[in-house]
Amino acid sequence: MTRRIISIVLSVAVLASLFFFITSAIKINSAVSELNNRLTSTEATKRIILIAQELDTPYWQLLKQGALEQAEAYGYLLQYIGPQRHDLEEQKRLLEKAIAAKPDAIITQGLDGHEALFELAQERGISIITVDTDIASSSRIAYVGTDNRLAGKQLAELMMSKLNQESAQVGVIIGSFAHNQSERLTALQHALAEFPHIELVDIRTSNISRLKAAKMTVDMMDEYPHINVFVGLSGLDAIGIIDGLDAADKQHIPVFGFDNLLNTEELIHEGRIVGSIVQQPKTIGQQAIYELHLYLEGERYAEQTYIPTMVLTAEQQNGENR
Amino acid sequence: MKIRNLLFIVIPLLFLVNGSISFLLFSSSNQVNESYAQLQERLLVYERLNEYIHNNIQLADQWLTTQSEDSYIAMQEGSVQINNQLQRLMDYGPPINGMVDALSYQALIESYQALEVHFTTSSISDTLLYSSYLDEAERLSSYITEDSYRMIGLELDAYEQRSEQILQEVHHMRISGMMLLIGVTALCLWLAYTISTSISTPIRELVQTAEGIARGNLDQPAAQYARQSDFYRLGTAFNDMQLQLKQYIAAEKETLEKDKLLKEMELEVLKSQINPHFLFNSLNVMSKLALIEGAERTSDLTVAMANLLRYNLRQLDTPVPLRDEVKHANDYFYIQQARYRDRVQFQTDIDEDQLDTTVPVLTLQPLLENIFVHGIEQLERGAIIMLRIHGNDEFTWIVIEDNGIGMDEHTKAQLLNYEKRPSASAVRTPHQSTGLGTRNVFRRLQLLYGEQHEVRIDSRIGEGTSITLRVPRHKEDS
Repeated sequence: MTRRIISIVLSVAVLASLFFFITSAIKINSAVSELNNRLTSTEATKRIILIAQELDTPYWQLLKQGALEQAEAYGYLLQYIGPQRHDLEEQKRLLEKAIAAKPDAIITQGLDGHEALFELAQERGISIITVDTDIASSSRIAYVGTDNRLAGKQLAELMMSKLNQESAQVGVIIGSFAHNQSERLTALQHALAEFPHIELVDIRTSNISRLKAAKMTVDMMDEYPHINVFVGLSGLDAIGIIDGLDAADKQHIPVFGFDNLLNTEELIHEGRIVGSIVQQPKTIGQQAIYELHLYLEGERYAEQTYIPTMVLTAEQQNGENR
Repeated sequence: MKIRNLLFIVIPLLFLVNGSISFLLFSSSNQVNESYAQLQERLLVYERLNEYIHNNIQLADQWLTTQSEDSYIAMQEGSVQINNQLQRLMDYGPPINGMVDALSYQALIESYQALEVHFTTSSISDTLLYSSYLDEAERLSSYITEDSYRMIGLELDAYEQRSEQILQEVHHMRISGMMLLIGVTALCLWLAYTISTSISTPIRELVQTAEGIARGNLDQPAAQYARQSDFYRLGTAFNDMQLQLKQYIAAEKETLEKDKLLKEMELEVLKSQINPHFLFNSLNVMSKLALIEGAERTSDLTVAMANLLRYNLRQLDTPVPLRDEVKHANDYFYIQQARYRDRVQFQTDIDEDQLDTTVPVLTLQPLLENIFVHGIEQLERGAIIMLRIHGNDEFTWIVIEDNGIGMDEHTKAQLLNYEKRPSASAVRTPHQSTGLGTRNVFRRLQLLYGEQHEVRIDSRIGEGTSITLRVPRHKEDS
């Protein structure tokens, strides 16, 4: 009897280890063959290069995400590139490079001075779609971006409703004077012109840097201590302003911002940011690919598409939470 | 299972397991190495492409400035190399995480190649145009450099994702392989032990049995083994051998006993055989003398006596036809009648066909003698002795009856217990001295015919005795 038990135990042990051994071998085999078994590049599918203003900002990441989803739906290949830091020169160079890589389409910002390159791309059969910022006069096929006029108007309305009738001395920080942001500013100015008790004291650029936005805030507070409202016109400005106000120990000053980045929602909840005009970059990305698809398929497409912005305030947050 | 089959199955199986372990280990490590080598190869291709392109631009620059044929030829060679490397890259296919990047990279190189054509075709006399091409090429080259590092990064990423898993599996495989090796070794040792004991234990047992037999102990059953085992037949053979030996020895003993009995009877006969010729001659003389003297009965008696003696002196181990026995019985009775006169009567009821059955010599006389001595001695008159012989093709029955005093159960049992030789003390008891003759008759029948003979005694005290013998129907000539 013990003999039989020993035999069985030994056999089972050998069989079990044989099983694990073979499983490992098969796994190695499959993993290795997966490594070696590479897809042959399919030239037939459309290749699109998306050039971001800055590679890792949430805005562009969301835009990329939307574009990628839409591109996958159509079976397009999407390459996402962009400068590590906000750098106009690098952005231009990447556009040149993208043109040299001969994709089917390029999605990028329509920046001043890019017209010649757009021209070159068109010559080489590359379709250009501008997002976020447009150069209407260029050879780009379509533009998809935020409705900046609406955004400026919404911001003005928000300020009106929140500030009531008190007189306001407003300090403005803008990311850059790129077309899109200028448009916002213009719309804001235009809307506020009707209300004399609100005055824009100064406008400064942050170069879409939180640090610089904070620094500018401190500078402005030094220069115009009577400023009692701040407005940030690009994504990280409002957060930078809060940093600056913290540094200047002026936490009570209300801030109006743009987009919903990082801890914006938290700051709104705390009441530091009164409200934010939120763009929908993901929708922009999707829409850009959608228009491109229409164009490539030879169908009617909209040359300019404006994606509306939304107003984010504490009341809305509560409404959502409820 | 037969040992041979066991070995035939187990040994190749173990070799198979060991072989497959080695093979799998080898092939797995080979695969891993190969995939790594391929990765290196790909990375090298990116690197080379980069290098060739740089080189070619330099050569083009040289060609422009020095216009040496060497640089022109080298440039063309470089172009071919670039094309080869690009082809290899396309054969490899893109890494899983950088399909579109790979396509862009290839497109960049193709752009460069398109541009490079101008180096060899356009005239270098138009220096301005040529250097503008060169500038363009430099720019593309910088893009390519950038992208090739990007591709190398992607390749490494793709490899790393898998390689971590592979390394883990290699580790698992090493552990399970070690376990397997230990397990197989243990199993081998165990099997070796089992097989060797399965051979040595039966051999030891059989050796013990054989030694026992050698010492003369035939009553030890050899160990039994499973029917499929090689030792089953050996064990059975041992048992058969013991059985045969026992039977042989028993048969030998019986023969010896029979011989001994014959010797004894012969000895008894010899006692009465002293100088038989003298005896017969004397008896003859007496018979003739009695006839001359007119005593016919005496003469007949003497002749009967002579016949009786002659018959008694025959070879004891030769069978005789029943007819002779009956005749001898008649002679014997005639002599006895001379003594008992009318007190006794001899009747026969004989089937003549059965008289050619052969029986041992002197079968009937001892029985008659017994009747005269014990059965009817004390009867005053009317004693009847009946001899019946009947039978069929198989057996002959001889029945001797008397109406004498009969015998008690003890005597009967003594008589019937003829298969054992009586002990020396039993022989001495005077009461059974004559019973010895009767028992000898029975015994001889048993030794001669074995199971085929039968002896029955029916007796009642005061009413008589009937002894029935059954013998097989042997004939003299058959």
